[in-house]
Amino acid sequence: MKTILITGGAGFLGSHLSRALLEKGYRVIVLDDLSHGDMGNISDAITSPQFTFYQGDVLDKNFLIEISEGVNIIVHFATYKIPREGGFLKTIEVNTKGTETILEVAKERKISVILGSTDDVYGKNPELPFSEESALVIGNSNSIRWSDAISKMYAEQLCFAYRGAFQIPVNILRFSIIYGPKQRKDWWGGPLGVFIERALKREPIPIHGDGLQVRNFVYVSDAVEGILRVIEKKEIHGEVFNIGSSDCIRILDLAYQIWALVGNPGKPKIEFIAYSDLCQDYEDVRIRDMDLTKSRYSLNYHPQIGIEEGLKRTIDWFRGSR
Amino acid sequence: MMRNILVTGAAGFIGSHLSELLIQKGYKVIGLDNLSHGFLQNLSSVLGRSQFEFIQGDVRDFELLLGLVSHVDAIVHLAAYKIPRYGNALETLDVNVKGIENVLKVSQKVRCQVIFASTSDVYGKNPNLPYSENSDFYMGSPQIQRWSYAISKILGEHLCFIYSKEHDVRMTILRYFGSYGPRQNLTWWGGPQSIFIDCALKKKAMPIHGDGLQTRSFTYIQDTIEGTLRALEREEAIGKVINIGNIEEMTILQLGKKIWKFVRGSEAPLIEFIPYRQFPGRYEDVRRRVPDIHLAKEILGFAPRTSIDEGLIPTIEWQRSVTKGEGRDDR
Repeated sequence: MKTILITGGAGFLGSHLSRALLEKGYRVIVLDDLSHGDMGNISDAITSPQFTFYQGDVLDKNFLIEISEGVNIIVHFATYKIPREGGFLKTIEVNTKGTETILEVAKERKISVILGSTDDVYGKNPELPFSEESALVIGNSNSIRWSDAISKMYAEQLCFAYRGAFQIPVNILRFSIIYGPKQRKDWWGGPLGVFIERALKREPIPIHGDGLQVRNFVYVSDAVEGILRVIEKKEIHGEVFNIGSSDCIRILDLAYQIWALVGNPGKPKIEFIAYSDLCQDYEDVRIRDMDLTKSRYSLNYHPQIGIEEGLKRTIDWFRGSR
Repeated sequence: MMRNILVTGAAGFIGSHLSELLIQKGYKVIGLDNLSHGFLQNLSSVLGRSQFEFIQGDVRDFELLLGLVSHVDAIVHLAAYKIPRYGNALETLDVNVKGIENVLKVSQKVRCQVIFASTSDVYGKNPNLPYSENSDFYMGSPQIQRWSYAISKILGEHLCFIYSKEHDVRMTILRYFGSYGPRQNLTWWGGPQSIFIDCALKKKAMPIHGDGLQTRSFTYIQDTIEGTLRALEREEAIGKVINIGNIEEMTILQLGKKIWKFVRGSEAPLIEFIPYRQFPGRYEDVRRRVPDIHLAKEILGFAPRTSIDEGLIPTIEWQRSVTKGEGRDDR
């Protein structure tokens, strides 16, 4: 049976993927430095004899070489995503050197790589929805809010450069905002977790900018299904896939919907936070939506859980884990 | 008064001209180059002079770099790999990011100034012309390796800003728009003009990618290095990104015909059109590229002065002499 190494596997998405892979009979190895991941996320998986956990750094090549013996695919999720919270240099380092280390290991051990990327790489491209062929449009370098996107673009290029030079099979998955049980409750987990947390406490909901920005949200089991399809289609490599849903929602409406689904009366009080308070020269992206045509046809990827159902399940989990 | 400058990529085209200019202006120069694409003969006029020291080494070697900068006031970081047109992208991604990262790390330690050579390629396929320093960057799919160059340079720019904001490194980013002149690289690495001159001299067909109607602006080397020198000397340039380029726009086809005429007079030019699909892998070209240079005028009091006609003549003469003589083994 195949063995999959998941970096960042104690994180939200990684832990769901671990469980799905174990259910399908794969062996799973998780590497996580636990800087943002949580052992609680993998408490059920860890009881399986098919599962191994290592605490370690994705920049530690020797350690990675050691633990990747017999591994068929590395799913690389270990990443930093909010430079304003994690430090800009750290974000770039983890995203670029982390990927480089993974590719070096893949080269030595002859392993396939799946890189978890983000729809943030489409940046502020005004042409919607984003297909895998869309231009990646980012603002000027003095606005370092783009350092996450550029570090991901660099990581993507690096994957294809290794593929070109050493014939390593690589695939890149660009996720929209993933949500669901076990997600983080702070901004690291996106606006949704923060909104649910506040709604459950009947507190005002903080919104960055005017709340009219639109985002694509995908429920975690659908995202996992997308990853599984890439893992199971051996003939697919050297490709980029969008993994999202058809749920494209205004942030303000998301806040209202969560407020209502939680069972609160009326409408929430909104606490608007100016971008200038977040980061110098912060530039928001108004609308982000994905074209899933390629994933649909090549992977037979069809997201199942709509936003209302997804939110209900997520809210239930938040309630149960408080 | 600033005295000592480290120039990385000093044996390259821009680096060798800049080294000469700096020495002429009374600076002491340490030239670092691993000679992967540079040539010692480019430095023949400064090698052996007391104000110039050449070190063969790699900018990715942190200890080496640190050892060189103890008395350096500024680093002009030119060492880079360019668009991997026929080769692989890995070296470009690696050299360009690790190079500037090391430069910034040592500059943080010894508190020296940094000039980072970036490129007009960062604007990518942005359709809104001309490109000002605040224009957006339009990149393409990672399946197209040409973007590895621009992406590595953008990441380098980000590192410059982060070191500037978090560690007070005094830096200036210069985005060069297609420099040409004597000592340019004789392969595609040196740009289309280099290939066209070579073909015209040898009476071979000039290869033109696509329909040849894509435009570029070409900046004569003396203008490029004058802009660079001014950025080095003006306090107002610290923390800024500045376009360094000629605003004279021409199509690649016009350029080829002009060069042919300069070299071969009224003979009909030989042209071979090469469709992009014949490139290995996928390729994506950029249709037009013109800089907005108001900021360079404002901050550096500088605008390129050399027209393409004026610049091509010495360039062709130089290339004629190399082709006839010993030549260079350009890669």
